[in-house]
Amino acid sequence: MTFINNYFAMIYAIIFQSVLLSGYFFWAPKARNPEKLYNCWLVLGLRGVFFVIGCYLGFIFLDTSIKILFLGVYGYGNISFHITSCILLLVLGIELIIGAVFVAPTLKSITTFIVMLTLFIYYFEINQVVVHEDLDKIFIPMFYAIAFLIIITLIYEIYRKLKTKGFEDKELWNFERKFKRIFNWKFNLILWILLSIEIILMIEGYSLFFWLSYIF
Amino acid sequence: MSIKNNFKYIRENLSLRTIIIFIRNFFLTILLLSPLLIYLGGSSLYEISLSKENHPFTIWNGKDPKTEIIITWETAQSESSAVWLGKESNLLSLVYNGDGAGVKVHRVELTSLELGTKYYYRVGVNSEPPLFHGPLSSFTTAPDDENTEFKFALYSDSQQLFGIGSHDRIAKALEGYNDLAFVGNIGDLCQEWDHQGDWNLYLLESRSFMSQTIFVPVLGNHDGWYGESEGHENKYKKYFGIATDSNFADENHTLFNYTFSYSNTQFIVAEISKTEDEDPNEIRNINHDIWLNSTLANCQDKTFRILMFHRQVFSSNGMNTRLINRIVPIVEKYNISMVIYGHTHHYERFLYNGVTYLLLASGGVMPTDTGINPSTPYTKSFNMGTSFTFFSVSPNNLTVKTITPDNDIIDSFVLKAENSKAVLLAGGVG
Repeated sequence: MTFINNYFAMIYAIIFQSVLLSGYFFWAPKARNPEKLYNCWLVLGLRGVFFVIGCYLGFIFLDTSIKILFLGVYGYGNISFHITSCILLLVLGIELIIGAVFVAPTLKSITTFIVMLTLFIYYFEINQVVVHEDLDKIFIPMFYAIAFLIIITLIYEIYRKLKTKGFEDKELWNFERKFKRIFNWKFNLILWILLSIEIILMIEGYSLFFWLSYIF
Repeated sequence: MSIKNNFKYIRENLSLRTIIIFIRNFFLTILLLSPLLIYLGGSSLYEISLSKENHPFTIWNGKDPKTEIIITWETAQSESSAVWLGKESNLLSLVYNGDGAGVKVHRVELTSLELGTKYYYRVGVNSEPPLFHGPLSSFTTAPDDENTEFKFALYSDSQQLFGIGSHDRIAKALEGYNDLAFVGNIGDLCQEWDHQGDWNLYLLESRSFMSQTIFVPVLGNHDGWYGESEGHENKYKKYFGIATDSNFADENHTLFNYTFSYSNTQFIVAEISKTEDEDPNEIRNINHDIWLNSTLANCQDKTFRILMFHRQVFSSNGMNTRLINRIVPIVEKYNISMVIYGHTHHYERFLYNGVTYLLLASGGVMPTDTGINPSTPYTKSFNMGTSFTFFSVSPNNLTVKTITPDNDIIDSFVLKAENSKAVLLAGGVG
């Protein structure tokens, strides 16, 4: 049962959330507007890679929080020091996975998701790699998934060129507008503030909910 | 939009303004990461700005805990050394008055102390009036009686990279326990072996417990002995000195291993700190193990034998097969009651062939065990987060309790002395 500890997961979370917010505010203003969609292939390509990274981090965040909160890998002696980070990771993980895959999925994105999930389960549950001062192993499934996405996109484009009529990787459903309204910039800004405060408190041996120790 | 049109669009829109916006956005993105960067920068500046004076603390470092003690302190300027000592806090008398050239790091050895006695002391310069450094402090010598119950506390890996970490929480929590025979750190006291700021921070935070009990240091890989050169002074040696016989202080011998007995227990502080210290074929490690074997052979009359060193043997973050092959046979041959170490940043308890191995590396460092699989066949308890461990020794039992600075119990267990061995009687995760 390999997992990424919640301290490191929180560091990944704050870095990713900062990049996400910078996207909202500076790089990709369309992300804030539910009515606007992208059509530039370069932006779409980068967005695809960003979604793969986001989805993979989503797996890590969900995996870490579930294993700490529900499977008790740390025991429950000092759970009051971990509960805040786990809840934040759970929320961010759900947002990332839904946002990256399930908002407007196509057959291609669902296939990539299944491949990535299979690789994640293999590396974290079956192969159970133990990472000793060897960070890169954690991201092997993510790089495989990015490679798979590139390959499947190329195959799809070639197939589309050959089959001139009637082939399109249609969206299976689309609730992007609703998603952007719920997980809007205000929501993500609050999440970013909470993540920033919590990671500093954790390193200093505290937590937003550490006072629970004195109640229970 | 086709690929061709995309390139055309980019070419047409790539202007100086676009580049300026790109650079602006880049810096604004960095600004979003600023809370973490400010925290890291602020902590580093705080560490650098600390005073160069360090309050007095006491160590044994191989001396006899019943009658001897070493008092160490540091002053910003070179001064002569003086120590006032007494059994009553308000009745201190001058017991050491150094002459000759002054020093910054003062080290005074006191001998012929009374057994099992609490002493109060002050340090400073014997002038008129006396110039004291640091607060009134105390220590207690070991008892003569082998049936005396005693308590001590251990933690490991307090190293604070850029001055960040939670060691101060442990130090403050330990201040509340004034009945401890000693407090030990199982290595990696600091992040950088030659960075004065790291050591000032550690000694500043540790004042709270060091002023009322004896400190037992163990060499870690971050404190490690990497020799010395201009501008690179080894601070572990600076503050704690060489523990072994100076006749053997050369490249073929380890320098910081020592042993002491307290009541019915023998403590063995081995020097296994760096990667090279694991190699069983290194001449200095061969010599080290000769010392280890003879030390253990000489303490078989003790009820408990506790072996401490820094590098991990068993760990969910990587089993150390070289040390398992080298140390476990010694542990089993000499009936060691418990092996205590640190290095991989979490708390974990193992039971292997009936012997308890305790990994205590949650002493303030941020857990850097990124991906971890806490399910070795020998793991009995696992935890992450700041913690330290209390040991309570009675004539037949050794009770161990690991807690957070807020008194949350993480793990507790009892070892019972049976036929020279320490058998796990009860244990459970908090």
